[in-house]
Amino acid sequence: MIRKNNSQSLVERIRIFLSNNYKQISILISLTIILSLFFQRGRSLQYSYNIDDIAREPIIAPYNFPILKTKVKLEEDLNNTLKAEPFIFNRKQEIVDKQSSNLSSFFLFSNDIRLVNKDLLNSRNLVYDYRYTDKFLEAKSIASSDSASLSQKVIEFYKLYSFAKDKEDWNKFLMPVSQGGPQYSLKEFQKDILQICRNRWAIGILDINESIIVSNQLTVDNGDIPILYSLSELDDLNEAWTEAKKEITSIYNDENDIRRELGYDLIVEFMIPNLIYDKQTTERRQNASLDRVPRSKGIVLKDEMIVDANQRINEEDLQKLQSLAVEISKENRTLGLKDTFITYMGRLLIIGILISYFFTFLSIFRSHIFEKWQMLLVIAIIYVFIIIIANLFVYQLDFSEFLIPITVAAMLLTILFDARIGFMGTTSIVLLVGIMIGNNLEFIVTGLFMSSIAIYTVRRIRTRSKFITAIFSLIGASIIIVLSHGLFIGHNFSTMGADLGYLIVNSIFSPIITYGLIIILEVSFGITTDLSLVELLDFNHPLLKRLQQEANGTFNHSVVVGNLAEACSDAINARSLLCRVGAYYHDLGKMERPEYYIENQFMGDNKHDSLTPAMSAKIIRKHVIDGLKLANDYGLPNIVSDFIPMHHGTSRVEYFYRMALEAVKDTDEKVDDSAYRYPGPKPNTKETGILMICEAVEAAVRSIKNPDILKIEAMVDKVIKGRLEDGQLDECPLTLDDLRKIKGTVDGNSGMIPVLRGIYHIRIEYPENDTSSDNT
Amino acid sequence: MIDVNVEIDLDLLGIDEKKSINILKSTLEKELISKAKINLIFAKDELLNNLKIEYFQKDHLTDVIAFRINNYTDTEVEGEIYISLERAIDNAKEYDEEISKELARLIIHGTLHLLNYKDSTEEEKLIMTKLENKYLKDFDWNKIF
Repeated sequence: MIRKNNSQSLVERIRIFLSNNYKQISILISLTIILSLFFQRGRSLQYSYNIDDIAREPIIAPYNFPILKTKVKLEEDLNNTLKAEPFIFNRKQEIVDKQSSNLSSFFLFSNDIRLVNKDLLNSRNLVYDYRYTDKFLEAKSIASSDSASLSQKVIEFYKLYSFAKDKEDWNKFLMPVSQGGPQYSLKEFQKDILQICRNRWAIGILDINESIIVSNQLTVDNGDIPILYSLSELDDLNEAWTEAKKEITSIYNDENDIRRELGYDLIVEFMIPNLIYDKQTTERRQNASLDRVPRSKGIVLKDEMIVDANQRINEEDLQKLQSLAVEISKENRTLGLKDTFITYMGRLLIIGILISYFFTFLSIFRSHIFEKWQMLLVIAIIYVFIIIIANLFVYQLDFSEFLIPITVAAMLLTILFDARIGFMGTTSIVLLVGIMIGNNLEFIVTGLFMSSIAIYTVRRIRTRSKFITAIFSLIGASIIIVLSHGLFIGHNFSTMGADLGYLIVNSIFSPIITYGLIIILEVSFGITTDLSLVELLDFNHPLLKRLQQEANGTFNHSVVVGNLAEACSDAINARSLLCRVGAYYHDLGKMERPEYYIENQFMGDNKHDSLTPAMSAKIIRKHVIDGLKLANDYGLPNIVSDFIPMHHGTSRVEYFYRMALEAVKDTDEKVDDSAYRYPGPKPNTKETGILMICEAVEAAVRSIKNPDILKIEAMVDKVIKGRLEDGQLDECPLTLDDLRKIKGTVDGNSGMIPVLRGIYHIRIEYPENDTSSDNT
Repeated sequence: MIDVNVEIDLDLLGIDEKKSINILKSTLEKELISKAKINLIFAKDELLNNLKIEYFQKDHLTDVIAFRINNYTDTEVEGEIYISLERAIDNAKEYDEEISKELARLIIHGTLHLLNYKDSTEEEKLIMTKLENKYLKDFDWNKIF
C-alpha cells in the first residue's frame, strides 16, 4: 500500500512539475535540438588529434580509405598542372598581309597629298604671275579648286590615320620637298618600316599580355602543325614595340633623324599582334587536366595500423587521421536511417547532459529565474549565440578556436543575472564548445580561466569604464594562460605568439560586443541591469526633479532612506544599487497630494484635522496606487516600481487606525481593520524587505525627541519586531541573521545604526544612569 | 445614535469632513431624529449624472441626490446623499454666494429629502427653502470648503 502511495505521489509530482514548467521544458528541448544541429561531427571526434599529441589508443583503419593530400600540397599540385598545360595561339598570316597593304596605301595616300600640295603651290604662283593679265580669273579659279581638293584629301587622310593628326612632324611629312617635306627617299623609308614589322611578325606577336599566361610553354598553330614555344621566345605587343624601336634606332643612327619618330608612330599603328589566343580551347584543356590531378596520395588498407597507442603523432599520421575523419563523416552521410538516428541520439544526449548541468543548478538555486520562461529564453539565446559563432569560426571559416568569444557569455550572464549564474553557465558552455570542436582540453582550460577573470571584473558593474578594465584584465589573463600552456606542453614561441594574438583580439572585442548585446537584451526582455539602474540615480531624472519641487520633504526622506537602505543591503550582500534606486522612487505617489504627508507640512494647519480617520487613511493609502501610475507613465522598470507597493506591504496606516479606535472607544462599534491597510503585496525580495524596514525606521527615528543612540537602537528593534509580528516580512527571503546584520551594531560600521548615528551626529555615549541620559 | 460616513472623491480634497458631518447631524437632531445611518458622498458630476440616468431616467446635471434606503415610516433613517462639488461651485458663482454656504445648504437639502420632504411643487419647495434658511442661520458653516 505504502509503495503504491509513493509511486502515485511521484507520478503526481511529475505531472504537477510538467504542467507548471511546460514553457521552460519546451525551451530546454528546443535548445538541445538547435544546439545538436551545430554539432557536425559525431564518431569522427575520437580521431581528433593535433601534431605532437600522444595517441591515447592504437588507431586501426576500419576499412580502406585514401590518404588525402594536405590543403597546401593539393594547391601546389593543381598549380603545377596549370603550368604544364600550354596556352594555345593561332598564327594569322592574313593579318600580316592586310597590315602590309595598309602600310603601302598609307604611303600612296601621303604621296597623293604631297602632289596636290605641289599643284596648289603652282597654281598660286600662276595667280601671282597673271595678276595683271586677262588669265587672272582663270588662274584664280584653278587655285581655289586645288585648295578645295587638298583640304578634302587632308580631312580624309586624318580620318583614316588619326595617329598623325595635329602633329607638326606629320604635317611636314605631307609637304612637297620644296616646302620642307621629306628630304629622304620615301621608298626606302617605307621599305625599312615594312621590314621591321615583318621581322617581328616572323617571330610572332602575342595578343594577350605575357603576365596573364601561367603556363611555361605556348602552342602556336600555324595552320598545319602546332609548334611549342617557350614563353621567352615569343613577344607580346609591348616587347615587340621595344624590339622594333631598337631596330629603328640602329637603322637611322642620327639622333635628330625625323624618321625615328615617324617610323615608331607607323610601327605602333600598323604592327598589330598576329598570334591570336584561343581562350576556349585553352580553358577546356586546363579543366580537363585539373580534373585528372589525384586528390589523394595513397591508400590505407583495412586493418592497417595508423598510429600506435602512446606514440607521438607526426604530420603524416595526422593527415591519415584527418582523412579517416572525412571518410567517416562521408560514411555517416550514407549511413542507414537506423545508424543516423543512433548517432543523432548520442549527440542529443551529450548536449542534454551538458546543459542540464547548468539548468539544474538554475532550477534549484535560482528558482525565481527558472520560473520566468523569458529569462530562460535569454540564457538559451546566449547558448545558441556562442555555439553558432564557434561553429562558424572553427568549421566554416577555419579560424583559431581562441577567437571564440566565450567571455561574452560569461559577462552577459554575470551582468544580466549574477556572478554565480555566470560561472555555472560559462562552465557548461565552455565544455559544450570544447567537445564540439574536438575534445579540445586546452580550449576548455583557457575558456574557463578567461571567463572567471571576466566574471570577476564585471561582477559589480556600475559604470561603463568597467568594460575597459575588463579588456585589460582579459589581456593579462591571455598572457598568463598562453604562457602556462606553452611551458607545460612545450609549444614553440611562434605558436604561443599566434595563440596570444588571437586571445588578445578576443579580449578586446568581447567586452565591446557584450556592451552592445546587453543593451539589446535589456530592452527586448525587460531585464534591468545595474548599468541602467545607475541612470535612475540621477537627480535630474524628470520624476526625481518633480519630487524635489513638488514634495521636497518626501524627496529628502527618500534620499535618507536611500542611504540607509544601501548600507543595509551592503551589510548582507544584497543588490545595494537596486535598494538605493528603489528608495529614491518608493514614495512617488505622494507628489499627487504632498500637503497630506507630515514630511511636507512645514506650516499652517494639518489637512487631516478636518477629516475623519477613515478618510485620512484612504488618502494616505492612495499614494501607493498614484505612485504605481506615475512609475508606469514614466516607464520605470518593474524591478524598481515593485518597491512602491511593497514598501508598505499590507501594513496598517497606524496613526489613523489608532485615531479611529480612539473615536469609537466609548461605543460598542468596531473599526474595520482592512480599511486602514495598504493593498500590498508584501515584500518578496531582500531588497524590498530592506526598504520596508528602512523607511519605517527613518520615519520612526525622526519622531524621537532628543535622539540618543540607545533610543534609536530601541526604536529600530521595535520597528523590526513590529513588522515581523505583523507578518509583513513573511514572503521575503531575509533571514533573522540578515535582520541582525541590517540593524548593525552601535559601534560597528555596517548596517543602519552607524548611518543613523551619522545622520543625527550622535557620539557613542552609554549613559550610566537615568539622570545623565535625560541631560543628553 | 447618529452614524455618518463621509466619502470624498480623492480629486476633490479640501472639504472639511468633520464640519459636514456636524451640519448633517444637527439637521437631523433638529428634525428630532435620534437614530440614523447615513453615507454622505462628495462626488463629481459624472457620478451624479449616471445615478440620475439610472434611477430617475433623467439626463441632466444635478447638484444633490438623496436615496432613502429603508421605509420612510421607520424610526431609524438609513440613506445616502450624493453631492456634486462641481455643481456647488457653479451655483455659488451664479448666486454670488460663498461655496461653503452653498455646500452647507446642499447637505441640509439632501438631509431633508431623506426625511421625505419634497420639492416637486412650488409650495413644497417654499417649505424646504424656509427650513434650509432657518437651519443655515444656526450653523457655523464657515470654511467647509
